[in-house]
Amino acid sequence: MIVSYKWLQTYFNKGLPPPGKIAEALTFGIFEVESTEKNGDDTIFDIKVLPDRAHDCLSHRGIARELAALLNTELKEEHTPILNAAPVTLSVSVIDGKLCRRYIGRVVRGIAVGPSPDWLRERLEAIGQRSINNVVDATNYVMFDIGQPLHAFDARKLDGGIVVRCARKGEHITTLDKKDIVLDEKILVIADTKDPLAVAGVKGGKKAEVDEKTTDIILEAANFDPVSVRKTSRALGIFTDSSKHFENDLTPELAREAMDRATALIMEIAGNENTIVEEVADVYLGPQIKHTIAIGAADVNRLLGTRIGDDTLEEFFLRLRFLYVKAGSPAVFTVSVPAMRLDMREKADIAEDIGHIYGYGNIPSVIPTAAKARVSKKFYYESFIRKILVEAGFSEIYCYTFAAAGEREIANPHTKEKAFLRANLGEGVKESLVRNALCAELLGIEEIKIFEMGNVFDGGGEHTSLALGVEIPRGGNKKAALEENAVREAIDLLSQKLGVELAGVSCNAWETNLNTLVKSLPEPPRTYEAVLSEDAITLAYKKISPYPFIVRDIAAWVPEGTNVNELSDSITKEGGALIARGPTLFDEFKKDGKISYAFRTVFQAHDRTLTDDEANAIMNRITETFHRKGFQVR
Amino acid sequence: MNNIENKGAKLGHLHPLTRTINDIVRIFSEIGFDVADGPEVESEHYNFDALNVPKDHPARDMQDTFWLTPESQKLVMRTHTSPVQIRHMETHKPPIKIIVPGRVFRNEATDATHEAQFYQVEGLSVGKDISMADLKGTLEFFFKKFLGEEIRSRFRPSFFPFVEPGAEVDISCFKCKGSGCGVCKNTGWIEVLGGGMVHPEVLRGVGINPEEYSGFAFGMSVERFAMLKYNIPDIRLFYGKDLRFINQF
Repeated sequence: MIVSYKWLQTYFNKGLPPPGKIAEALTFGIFEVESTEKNGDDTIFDIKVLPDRAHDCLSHRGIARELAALLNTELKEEHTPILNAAPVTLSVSVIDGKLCRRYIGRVVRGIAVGPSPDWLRERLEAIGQRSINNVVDATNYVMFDIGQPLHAFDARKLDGGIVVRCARKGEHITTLDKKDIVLDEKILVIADTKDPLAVAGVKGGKKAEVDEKTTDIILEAANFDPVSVRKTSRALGIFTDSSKHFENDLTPELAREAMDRATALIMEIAGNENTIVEEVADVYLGPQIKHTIAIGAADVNRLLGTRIGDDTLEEFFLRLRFLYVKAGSPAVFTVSVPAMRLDMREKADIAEDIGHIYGYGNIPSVIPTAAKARVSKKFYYESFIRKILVEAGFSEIYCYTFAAAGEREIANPHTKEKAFLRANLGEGVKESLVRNALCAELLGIEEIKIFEMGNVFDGGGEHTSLALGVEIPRGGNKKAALEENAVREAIDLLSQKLGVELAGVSCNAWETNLNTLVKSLPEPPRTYEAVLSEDAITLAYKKISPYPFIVRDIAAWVPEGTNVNELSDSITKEGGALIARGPTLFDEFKKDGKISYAFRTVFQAHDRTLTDDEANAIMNRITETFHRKGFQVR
Repeated sequence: MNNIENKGAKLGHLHPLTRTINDIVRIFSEIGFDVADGPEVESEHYNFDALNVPKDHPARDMQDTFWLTPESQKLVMRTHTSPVQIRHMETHKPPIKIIVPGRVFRNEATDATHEAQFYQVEGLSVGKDISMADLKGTLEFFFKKFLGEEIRSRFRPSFFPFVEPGAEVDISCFKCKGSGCGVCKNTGWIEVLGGGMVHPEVLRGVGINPEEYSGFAFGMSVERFAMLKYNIPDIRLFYGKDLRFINQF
């Protein structure tokens, strides 16, 4: 929510601390201030008002009141204007009392619609609102000031009085921004005896629009059911400041004050000595239920971990402007929940307010005592199996749960390819084997060995699965047999270490139900010591290039006694930053007093696809260097 | 006979998320927190209602949650591991101290810092005299062990439907040590955790009397910590099944 520092200041007699201090007080006292921007001689805050306080703090006054409590500063005394009113002529009929808890309508006759005075225009523009005309601006001002949305209709454009009802199937309304909306029975409208005039709480219609010719207006201050407003707003795709206030719910008690403030303001900026203000037509199902909460210091200290005494607690209540009755020793305070506080219903809610004033930073820290945790059998054996597999050369992957096929389907997936829950891990493992096989050279490994543990979903429900697979890219015509063998070796190893018989395998991947497996195992030891070890904190990820790599080999005869590093260093020097792996010595043998060393180097760029020419150029330079050193390149 | 160990074969690599979760489990097990587990497909009741998330709350809209077909069954991919805490409280009497590492799902657009699936570790401690002071101390203990002795933390007010009071926790930026950098957006602090005191309604719902017992709860994203700790720029790397990434750890 956008809030103006200057506007906040109007609530205080004393000068407020500078904006930076205000932002700090709010961030650590109640709401995160997401940004603070200077705007001429004003400062504009973007305050993150969360759902539990959107009933009372989506307004400058709401924020000012919280600031007063946090800063322990006095608020200016407020006076609701008293108006001389003529008898009411407006008829208001509320058909659906559940969706409209209160409707206040008031006729004001004999005003002149025109531009707003500078101070009002500036106020609104400071918080990013457009100035429209003095009447509309006045209603917007009151909403951003005290949190109650209002609306104004041109009284002469109505057919009969106000009817608050659900729309009928097929009814239309043209909104103020000229959109034609089709309505249905779920949508609450403000109507006259003939047509819908506004989508209640959301958007006004063109029929009764206030324009420069308007002389008589009907002001509306009402309270609508939050769920209905939210559903309507979403169904129509219309989101306004008004709908935002209503969908967060608001006390109906606020409407009368807002109506009087708006009336007074309109009289001031659009009225004259002949303006007539009528008495309100107020359809109100009943005053809001008053809540009280009985609370003592012990209740607060129990939740916060503080040692606040009765006197301090009472001070805090005064700062928060809570009304209370104090009785007994230790004192029990029966706090009257302010009407605006729709969130406050029990002790924990008050404790939070106290925590805000006390300051979370001042709450002590109780260091936890050492204690033995029960070892989770599943977690233990998952870690145990991971350890065995990692020691056997397997690396762990995590795949996506959402897959292109499966037995359980998602109703609202991101894409078709992710519309199902995976029924097994095997598919993901196999796909990963193939992909990683392409990078074997870059990885510097001859066998791709991977495993995964994760939940899979089939007709029978959900269970945790364990899968592993092996790919040997250069296995040649023995590839399948070698891979199957490697998988079998891994399963045999697991069987041996776990003391169970694990079912056989017939290809390069294997999967088993981990829940079933764990059930069959003995109870784990008392600590995780054997399976969890302390992490090395200093690892840092090195960027992977998305571009293809090129592999080059070079071998040379060198005189005996030559240090092998002379060759590898030359390669490293010429390859420089383009070397992704190596040079790796992969062959070495002696003959006739000479040694042959063979190196494999993988080249890759981070910003482009390396060309064969570039790679060849590097190899040529290496070859020349070798020749100069008297090495015979093979 | 198996001879893999004798081959002098290279060691494999644990996934960095596993390493991170293992660290977290190990640290919390030193102060008596057990590991609890639960299903990834959850009922609307356990994922929302029992956690005091009101019906017709924006979070329940189709934008944030993945629903299963048929929708009449009211099943979702869990959006947090909190449902496991509810299940645990229904079947265990206080004192309760658990952490719940697990995969969770959010219907959000994917980018460098957002994925549709990620890992959380949530914690819960319910007992006779548990207060926010205990939450603070427990988290401070964790941060020091996990990130180093010099790490500082601070608590700010926040709101989650299942806690009251609610808080968000920032840690001092371990990259720039608080002087300001890109990681902490020049503030010197990184937001890493949410938590607070378990809402009395949540306790009542599982048959625990909030006048007799109180508890704290917290939740953190594992990816966030792993990305900070290991300097990983893109969350999607965790699920790329790419050994060029995984074998670095």
